[in-house]
Amino acid sequence: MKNIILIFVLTFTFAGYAFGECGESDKKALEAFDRAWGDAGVKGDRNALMTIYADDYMGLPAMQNKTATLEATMKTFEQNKANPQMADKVSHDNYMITCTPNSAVITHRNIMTTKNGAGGKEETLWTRSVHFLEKRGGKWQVVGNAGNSLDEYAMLGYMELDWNTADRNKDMSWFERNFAADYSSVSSRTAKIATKTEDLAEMKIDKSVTEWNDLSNMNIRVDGNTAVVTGVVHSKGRDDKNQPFDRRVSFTDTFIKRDGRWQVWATQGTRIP
Amino acid sequence: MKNKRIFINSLKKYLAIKRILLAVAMLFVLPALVICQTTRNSANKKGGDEQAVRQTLNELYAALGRNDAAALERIYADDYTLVNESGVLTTKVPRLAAIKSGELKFESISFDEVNVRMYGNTALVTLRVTSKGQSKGQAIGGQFRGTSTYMKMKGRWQLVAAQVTSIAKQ
Repeated sequence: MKNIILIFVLTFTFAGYAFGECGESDKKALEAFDRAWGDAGVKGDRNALMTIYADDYMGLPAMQNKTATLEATMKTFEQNKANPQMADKVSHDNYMITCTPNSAVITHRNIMTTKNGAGGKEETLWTRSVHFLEKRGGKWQVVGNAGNSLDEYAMLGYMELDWNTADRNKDMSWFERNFAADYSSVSSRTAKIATKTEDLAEMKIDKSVTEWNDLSNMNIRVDGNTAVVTGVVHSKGRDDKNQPFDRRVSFTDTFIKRDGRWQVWATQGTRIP
Repeated sequence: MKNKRIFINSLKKYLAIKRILLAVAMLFVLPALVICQTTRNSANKKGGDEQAVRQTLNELYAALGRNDAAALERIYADDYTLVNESGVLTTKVPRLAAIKSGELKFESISFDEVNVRMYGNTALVTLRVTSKGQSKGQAIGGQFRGTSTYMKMKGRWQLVAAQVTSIAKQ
């Protein structure tokens, strides 16, 4: 009987150790690992990359092994070193990490601005990477990597999510970059029409705080260099008089693809009673 | 004779310089003329398109004023959406059905404060709308601010998306 109990205890303990989910600190460490991997590639740090990639690493969809991946990374590094003005600018965000003590899946968005886009013009490309990691000899190593480019619909969906995040964080740089120069808006509260300059000035002095927001009923239509997104944004927070608000607003956003990237051309909100 | 020959040589030199100057002038003037022509063509096209959008806008509001579903059928794109003053989204089929059945009926509708922006085959229109009518037997109307997106499809401008917001009473 004692042995049976011991076997049960050991089985559950081992299973918990092997298959249990990791905590927030582990996820933070994995994100730091992922960013360090990216930095090692940018800096051409071959030694760091040698330890980051597992010997049996495989990159998809190109079926590229560790040696070929290292060579390709170093070749890009040398090209960028020789001609830094032409180097692609890449940023990573929207991390999602799941892990057990010995395995992890990291996925994140990549926003890459290249000078050599379509027609030799600057273009911003969005991709999503999925990395598979294992802990070997006490250290995380990348055993697999898959990536795919995001289509226009996914990019526009992300832009709406980013817009919500920028609203919550009062991230002026997002609005500055993503509102087209000839942008217009119609306010859901006053129906007042505003230009980009007017809206940015308003945002700078706005004392209201959006604590939470969410999107629903999203519909995205794309036709060439134009896109129309409709949906409902639900937001909660405190207004400029520090009074709580809970609003649901229907919106129509018109985007245009200009200078190789999607920009907000017009937005209008209508309050749902 | 010597003097004459000198004169002829001077004349030749003068003509040669003139030819060079003419060639140089042509070198700068011709491309400028071509650019001007191209810019004018582009401006004409843009102006023509903007004019066509404004014409479509006039036809749209005339059709709404007449509750003319057949005319609206041509102006609304197949994937047309409208977000009305209550924040409710409707599409082409139910919108036309409501007008055909008389469920939605405008007694008057007009617009002003129009601004048109163009980007390729897309036009964005902001405007103020004043309307009076009935929906499901209830009086509707007032003043609204609207944003509309038009696209040129198969050579004609169609309304793809529109939204209106009630202008707050000051």
